[in-house]
Amino acid sequence: MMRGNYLTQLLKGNTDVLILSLLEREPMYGHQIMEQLEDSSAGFFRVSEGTLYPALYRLAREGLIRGCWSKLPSGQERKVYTLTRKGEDRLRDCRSTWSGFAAAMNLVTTQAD
Amino acid sequence: MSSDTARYVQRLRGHLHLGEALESDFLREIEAHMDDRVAALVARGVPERRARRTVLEGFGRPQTLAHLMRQAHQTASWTEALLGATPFALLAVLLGLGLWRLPIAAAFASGIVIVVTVYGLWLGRPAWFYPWAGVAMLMPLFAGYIAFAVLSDQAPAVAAGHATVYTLAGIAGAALYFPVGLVVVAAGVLVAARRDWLDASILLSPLPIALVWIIALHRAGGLFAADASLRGLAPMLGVIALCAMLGTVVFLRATTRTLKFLTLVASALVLLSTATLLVDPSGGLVTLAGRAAILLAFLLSPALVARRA
Repeated sequence: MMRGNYLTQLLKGNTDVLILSLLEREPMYGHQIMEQLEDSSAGFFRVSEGTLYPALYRLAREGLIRGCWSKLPSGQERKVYTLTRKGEDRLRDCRSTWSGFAAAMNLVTTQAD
Repeated sequence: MSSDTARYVQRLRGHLHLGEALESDFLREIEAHMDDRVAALVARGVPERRARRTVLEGFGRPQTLAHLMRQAHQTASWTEALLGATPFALLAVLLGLGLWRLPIAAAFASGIVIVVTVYGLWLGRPAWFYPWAGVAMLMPLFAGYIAFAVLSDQAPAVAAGHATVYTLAGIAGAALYFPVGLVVVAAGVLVAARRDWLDASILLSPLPIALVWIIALHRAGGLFAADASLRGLAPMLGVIALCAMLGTVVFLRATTRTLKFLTLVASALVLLSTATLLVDPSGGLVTLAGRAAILLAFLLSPALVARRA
């Protein structure tokens, strides 16, 4: 239970970075982002639609990503999100902060071993 | 689309209150997502009916998703927050420096307010639109004050039986102005509250400032006689508008509804204390509490409208 809560909190705090990281690879639409997140993390990260869409709209509103309707090769239209220049800068900052945070966490949490 | 999905989308639409264009875009997007997700689950061997249920569970309750979506749209960027606060800066300059008396300055400011408000309407009422629309509503309010001045001015002539047809027509027009004005303001508040009552409250927020100004103006002798005696009060009126400007920036930048609500209440109390110092410093604590209750009831009244809608 404790592990589940901790993981949920961690995921909630990092959904934006995960989305930005995926969009850095290639432009994607909502469902694709969800599937890619799960596949890229070997099933570890599962974001519900109720979390994904508010996050996408918040990021778009902040100008970090941009959503445009595009026609897929199948002929279907989907709203495809791309990372903006501002989003790239934010992702760079987040990565740098994350590296420092992860290194510090490792230093503290592995001291007992 | 299955009946469950259609019902979900319909309920979600009922709770979104994001504006027609944005709602249609979002609903189109999630309908496409539902199709993709169901197809993916069915391809993995999940029966279609169960797949649809799983997808709807992923979206969560329509009310919750709508709330999260509104929250994602509520926090304005710094640019939007500053744009939203600009009409109060304009008010601060006009009232604080007494420039409202110069026809060119007043016409220029009114022109800017009208153009930006119409532009905001055209954009689908973004967060910064409501303070501008609220300040735009001050124009009819001021026109209402002029109508009131006409009524007061002509009343003795009418009572003495010296009224001309033009005077009577003027009085009828002025008297008609108040209910029409009230209906226009109420309609604006209703439309805004249908999306979010906090938007409607921020729309109403410039009105108490204008009311303080008009009361000060009236006590100082009216529209044309007030110049000299109102000059001393002008800086305080400017300060009130500047406080409202700061309050609007905090309101628009606030990330939670609670913070927005508290900002609204705090701004109202700052306005009330400054206004009391300005127009009625001798009023007692009970009077002050009564005015605070009226002001808060006025600003928060859209919450009741939204509850009934």
